[in-house]
Amino acid sequence: MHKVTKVTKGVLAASLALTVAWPALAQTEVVVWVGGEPGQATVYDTVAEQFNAENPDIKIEIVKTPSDLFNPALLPALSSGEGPDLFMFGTGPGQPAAIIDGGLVADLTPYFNENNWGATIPEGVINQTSSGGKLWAVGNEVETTAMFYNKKIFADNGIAVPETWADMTAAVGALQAAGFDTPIGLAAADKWPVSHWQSMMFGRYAGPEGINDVMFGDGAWSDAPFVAASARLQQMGDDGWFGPNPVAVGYAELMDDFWAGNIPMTYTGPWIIPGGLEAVGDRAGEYGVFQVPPFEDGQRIYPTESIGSGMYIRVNSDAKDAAVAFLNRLFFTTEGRATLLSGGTVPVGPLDDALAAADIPQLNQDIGGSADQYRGNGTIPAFLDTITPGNLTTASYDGLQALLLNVMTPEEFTAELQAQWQIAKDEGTILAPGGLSAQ
Amino acid sequence: MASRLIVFGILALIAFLMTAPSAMTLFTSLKPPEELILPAWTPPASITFEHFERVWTDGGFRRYFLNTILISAVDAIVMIGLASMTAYAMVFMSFRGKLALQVLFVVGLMIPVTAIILPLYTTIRSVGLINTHLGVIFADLALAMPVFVFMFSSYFVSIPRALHEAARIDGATEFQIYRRVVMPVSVPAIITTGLLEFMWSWNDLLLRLLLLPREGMRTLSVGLLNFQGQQTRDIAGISAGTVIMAIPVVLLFLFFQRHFVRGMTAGAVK
Amino acid sequence: MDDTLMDRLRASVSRYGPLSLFLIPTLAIYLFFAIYPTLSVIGYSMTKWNGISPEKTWVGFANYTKMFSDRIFWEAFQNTFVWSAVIVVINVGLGLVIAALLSRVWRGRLILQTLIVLPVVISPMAVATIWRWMLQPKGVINETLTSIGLDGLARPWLGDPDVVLFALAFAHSWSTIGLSVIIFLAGLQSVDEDLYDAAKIDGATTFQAFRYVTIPALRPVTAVVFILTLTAAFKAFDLIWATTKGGPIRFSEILSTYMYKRGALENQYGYGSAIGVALLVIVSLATLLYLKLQARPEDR
Repeated sequence: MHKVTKVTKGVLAASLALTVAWPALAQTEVVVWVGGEPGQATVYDTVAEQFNAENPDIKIEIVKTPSDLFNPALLPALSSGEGPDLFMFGTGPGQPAAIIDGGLVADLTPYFNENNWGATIPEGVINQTSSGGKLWAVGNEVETTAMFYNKKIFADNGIAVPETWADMTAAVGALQAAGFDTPIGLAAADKWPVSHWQSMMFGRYAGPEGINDVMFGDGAWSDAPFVAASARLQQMGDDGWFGPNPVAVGYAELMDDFWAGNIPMTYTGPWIIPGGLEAVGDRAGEYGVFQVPPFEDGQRIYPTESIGSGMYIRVNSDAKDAAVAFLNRLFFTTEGRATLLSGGTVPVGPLDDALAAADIPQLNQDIGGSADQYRGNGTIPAFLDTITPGNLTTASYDGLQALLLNVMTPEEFTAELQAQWQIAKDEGTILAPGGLSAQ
Repeated sequence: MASRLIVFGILALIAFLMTAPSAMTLFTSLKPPEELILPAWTPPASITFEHFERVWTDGGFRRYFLNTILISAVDAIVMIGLASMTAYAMVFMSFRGKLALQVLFVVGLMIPVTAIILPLYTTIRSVGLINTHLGVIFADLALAMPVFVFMFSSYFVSIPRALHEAARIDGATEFQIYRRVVMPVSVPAIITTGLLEFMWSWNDLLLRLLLLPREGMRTLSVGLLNFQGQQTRDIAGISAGTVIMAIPVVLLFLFFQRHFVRGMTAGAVK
Repeated sequence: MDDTLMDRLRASVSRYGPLSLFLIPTLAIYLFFAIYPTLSVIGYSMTKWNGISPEKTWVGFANYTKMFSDRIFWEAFQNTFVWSAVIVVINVGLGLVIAALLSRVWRGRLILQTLIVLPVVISPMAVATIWRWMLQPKGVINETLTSIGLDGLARPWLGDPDVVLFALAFAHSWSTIGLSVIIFLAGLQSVDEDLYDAAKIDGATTFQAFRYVTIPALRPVTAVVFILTLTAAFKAFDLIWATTKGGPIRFSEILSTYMYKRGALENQYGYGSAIGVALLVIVSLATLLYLKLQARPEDR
């Protein structure tokens, strides 16, 4: 298997070299920047190889940009009219405002209509990738966060998957009594992992409408549900649920500990699966996923789902049509979708055809399954930090650490969020509500 | 005698502490996947080179290696020439505006690259050098120039004036004096400059990330980022990459260490 | 007429020709690729600009006014000061001591020296990866402290507001002190042996010789080490960004990380530029101040 890929790559490289030598073939070159995690990003290579073989007149060049340090490299390139033809970037009303308002990316609405993308992309995703009645990006994948747990530790300590908050409290208590000083791993030193708790709890307490109301309506982050959610998070920290020093723990290091079987639970997303499965080898079956039970009586469970990133096309790219052809192959054909799924990347939209053709890791299936049970309730964003403007994200990251260190009250925290949100609103760095205007 | 042993003991302890963190990296790079979840400071029970292989081929290090060598070698050689000539003019020639030039170089010593990265990009783009090795080389030279002018100047000051005067009386041109009199006695400063510039250029990340966006032009420091995701990291890949990156510089260092020691400050002391 | 013009031309070529040969290539590169971008940043610092859009609005000194009343700027300023001070003390002080000890060893010196200097060649990103790993609550540092009975010293390094900056400064020093050691060693080799002999005849102890002979003789070398260390500390970014991103909260936020957050991540490029200019001015002032203080003892 491995060897075959290498040979194909060799052949591919050789044929690329030939094409460079004979420019008469006049290939359209599309430079694509993809992010993601080290193990995940390779799936795009696979699709690009297939695509290049099928389309001799187009050459897709995948450039992997997994680290967050690549973003600053992208912006100056774009603003001077260079850089990749197709690239991944944040979505939602906050992050892409600068590149959309700056006119750096192409309006994808015509391609959307032409290629009937609407049949695949759900409305919720369209809302996150559109603004001012135009579509700006194609969401690359759905990421669902959930509680990952070690089935073996649970079984050894006679713990069942918690269904109510009382179960949850009892489970944590039992684990603490069994000597696990960190029942739920939380890597707050890296700042962003806490915002996954924040996103889930804000959504659970306020509901999908509550979140939408703040994002696009008159709601405020200082409203009661958000204060209550923050207070609960702080309380869990005080009770030692996240161990003695969550703020000192790094994410990568925490995940090593989780896969090593030293930490019973951690709340995270599917991007850790490819690397994790490699680390645990044949112990993969010891890990499972569940939805955190409702925090309060009468609260509902909403799946936490966000799109990972959007794929944008540079406005002055010479290869827009070729880029769109690649997007079609990648996200809107069964083969493309199946390839993504097998690589641990869940494309947006219905999966029936692709699911049948794909070879999906069990943990990915578990996440999907646990979310599907509650899909009828509506979904909430998994990553508020990637869809809010930069200043609010900074304030959330700092504030969540302050909550866990007990140097900020829930009221102060939410008031600070609202203050930053208001600044962004006043500065106009928030996009108009999503959705496509009727044609 | 006893005091000598104590000194040796202290130094051995310091050397151990300084080396221990790097040893962890070496261990990790050699561990098979199933051993990676063990604590980092345990040596590998069985050694594998699979991570090196993976980094070298799939990780693209083979190509990055050549790119990096090319940039660093050109950087080092050109820097030696330019910085020494500039320092020569500053030390041995008299001209108006010398003080202003000195001030200009002192300011350059302090410029944080992170602060000027955007206009630097625009500047390099305006001359069409984005995604060329030449663009990175120019930026490297410009940003590190002050340090090495400073270093060569402090070395040249220690060269006896009489040597320079004698050559001039013999009718040698400035360039001949520079080439035949001053440079031959400045070997330590030359080696120091070459080594340091090579090393800084070798490890620099930010400029390369920004100025060489295309895969085929990338350097090792950027290649290392391929093993560092936004959320997870491939620790074995990073470790193997780090070891591969360190080897050439360590070898150069060992080879030139003797000269290196003398080069930095021979001038400053006198 | 023509003759005089030609003569003048010839005269000025022979007068300035060699000088231009020596200076122009450097100046062309330096002015165009270092000074010009720096001047541009000073220009941007007087605009409101997101770093992307074609529109820049001239705002004069508004970014600077904002900066002076920005609480977080002053937090970062203070942290930068502490961070740099710790690094300078370690790299200059400990660097000198290690070099002095090394210079007294003959057998095995090259090995010791190589091992101590080795971390200098490791790339900054790898340094960050190694240290964040070691500084975990259950990382190798705390485990070692516990195993030798020093549990009391174990800390949640990256999460403790009181120690995080020191822990990271220590990591920075680990990766840079080798350079100081080398420079000091070079300096020590050129200290006149006669001075030590004289001190010995006067009955000075080893420590006194170090204090009254070595340190004064090394003053110019110390200046080189000081300036290189200080500028590197002020410009440091990778290590903090890859370990704590300025946290917990903002307890390890220094000016370079703060500039990056505002300028690159929050698209307030004009404001970020103002912070960058402040960084440049502060480090220049610190260097000048040091050079001035450093010159004084000789007048006594």
